[in-house]
Amino acid sequence: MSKVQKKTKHRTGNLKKVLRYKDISIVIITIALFTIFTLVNKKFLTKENLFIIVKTTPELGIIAIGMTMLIISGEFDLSVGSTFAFAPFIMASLSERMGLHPVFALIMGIIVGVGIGFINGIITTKVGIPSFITTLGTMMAWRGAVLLASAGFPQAFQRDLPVARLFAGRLSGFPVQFIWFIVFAIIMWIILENTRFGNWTYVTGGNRNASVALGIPVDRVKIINFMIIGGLAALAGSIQVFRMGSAYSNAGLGMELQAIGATVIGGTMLTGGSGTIIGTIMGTIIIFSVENIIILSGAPAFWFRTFVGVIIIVAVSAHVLIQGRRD
Amino acid sequence: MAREAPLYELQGISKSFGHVEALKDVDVQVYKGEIIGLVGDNGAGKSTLIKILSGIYAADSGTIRYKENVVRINNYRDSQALGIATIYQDRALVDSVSIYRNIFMGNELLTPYRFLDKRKMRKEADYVLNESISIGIKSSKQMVGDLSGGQKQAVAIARAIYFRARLLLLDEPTNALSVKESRQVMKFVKNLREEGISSVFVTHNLLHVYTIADRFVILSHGEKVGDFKKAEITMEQLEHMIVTGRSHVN
Repeated sequence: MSKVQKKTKHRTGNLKKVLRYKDISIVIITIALFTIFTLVNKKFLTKENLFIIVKTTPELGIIAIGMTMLIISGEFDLSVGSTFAFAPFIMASLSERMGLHPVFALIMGIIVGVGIGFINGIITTKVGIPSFITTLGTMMAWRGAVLLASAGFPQAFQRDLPVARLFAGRLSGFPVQFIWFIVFAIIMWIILENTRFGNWTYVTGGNRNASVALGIPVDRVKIINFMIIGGLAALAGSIQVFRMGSAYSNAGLGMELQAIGATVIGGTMLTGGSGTIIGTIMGTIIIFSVENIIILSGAPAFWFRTFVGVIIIVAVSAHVLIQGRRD
Repeated sequence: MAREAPLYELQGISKSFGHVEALKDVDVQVYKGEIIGLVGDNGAGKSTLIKILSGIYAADSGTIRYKENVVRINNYRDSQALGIATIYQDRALVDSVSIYRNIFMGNELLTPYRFLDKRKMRKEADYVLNESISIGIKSSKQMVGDLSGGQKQAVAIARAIYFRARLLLLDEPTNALSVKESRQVMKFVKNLREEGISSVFVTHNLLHVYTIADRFVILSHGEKVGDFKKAEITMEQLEHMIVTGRSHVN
């Protein structure tokens, strides 16, 4: 954990200091929601049920980690849902139709994702149009491409391959993909908090002009973050293919907004320059807990979107109330 | 009296933007440990002169000398390499990250394994904040966004002096500050003079500049109309010169 947190433990009497710790509000929100959910349904906080949440979280979570870094650097990516379908479709096709070794097929799929990110980054920074527009365009373009390539039919992929078990198997009952999610979260956390590139990501999003004035290559920082989220979206989509045994052309529909939702629930500011990986992990878990409690309570699943929408607004309001507005 | 050679010397600097002559054949010398008040009405050419020194604009003609050698300032890096640091009006700080990350942004200290050496950065930042400019900042882990205007200015100056600036260019440094904060900023600019760091202070506030500067360079419509030591001119005369653009002597 960070030094800030260690230090706050020494000053537990000083509430103000504790409230300064940047992840405190998401911790409070998570505890509050979990308490409410447990009161609503006693089955919520059982091991079996938490396993269900843990199994479904990683695919969105891995994308949300990339989204967090990109938003911190001051940009968005709306095309991740399409990348989530397109790149794994390439992987499945290369492996099943062309007979390429599945591991190489996976690597190719991830290269496709990174390439999509690179294109988004180049267009956004070098042409100078907002990433919202760039990625809105590429979102439609890549979705169209995967629909065209698949003609709307799923592309089968063998589920029991070693590579599939490596990413979406079980380790004495525990879903392996959650371990990968945590591994990537830790890697990205280290990059963000403890490397020069991470520092550049924060300052580029926080004040672009200042960063340019101090010689930071802001365009390169943004392009690399676009490439990271592209690669992570391809990997997350591949995990779903490994899990389901098929690549679907409509996979990941609406996922870009869920990923942005998880990121902002976790306390990342859409204005750039601030945000944390830990917050995003909690934000993702919250989204799936909402889905889970709805199913547990026997309410119609259609409530899911409504609830997630409400939670986004409540969570961001709570961040503002707990930590104050930073203008 | 034979005086030592100037640290920085501008000679015959001219700069035009289209038909507008922003600077006409301007000479300025900056000596070690000296605070210069660069004054003049709007459009006098003060900002253009600052931007030439900080590498944003290139002069059309004229020479710049550092320690008597002719140098060229083509960009920000050249300016920084000559020990010139510009403290911008918006201070070039990032509100959403901590003080030490601001001080070291773009010049991060790394461990042998290429990770950020946060402990060393914090230590150095705390040292420079407390020893050189003491402004009541408790810890360099504080977010810059939580600081007052004067404290932010101090962080920007701390960054400059940490990276061995010998000349600070302060463009309207007290503009957005309260009276108390302005006084603090002026105090540590004065303290820096004791350490041999020179400053060029650009401001509209005559009271501020008259309190702090050792020498005044007065610009009017792109020309230098006066260059006086503080003892040679009163505040009223200075104000008169800025308004009329004429020397009080004649």
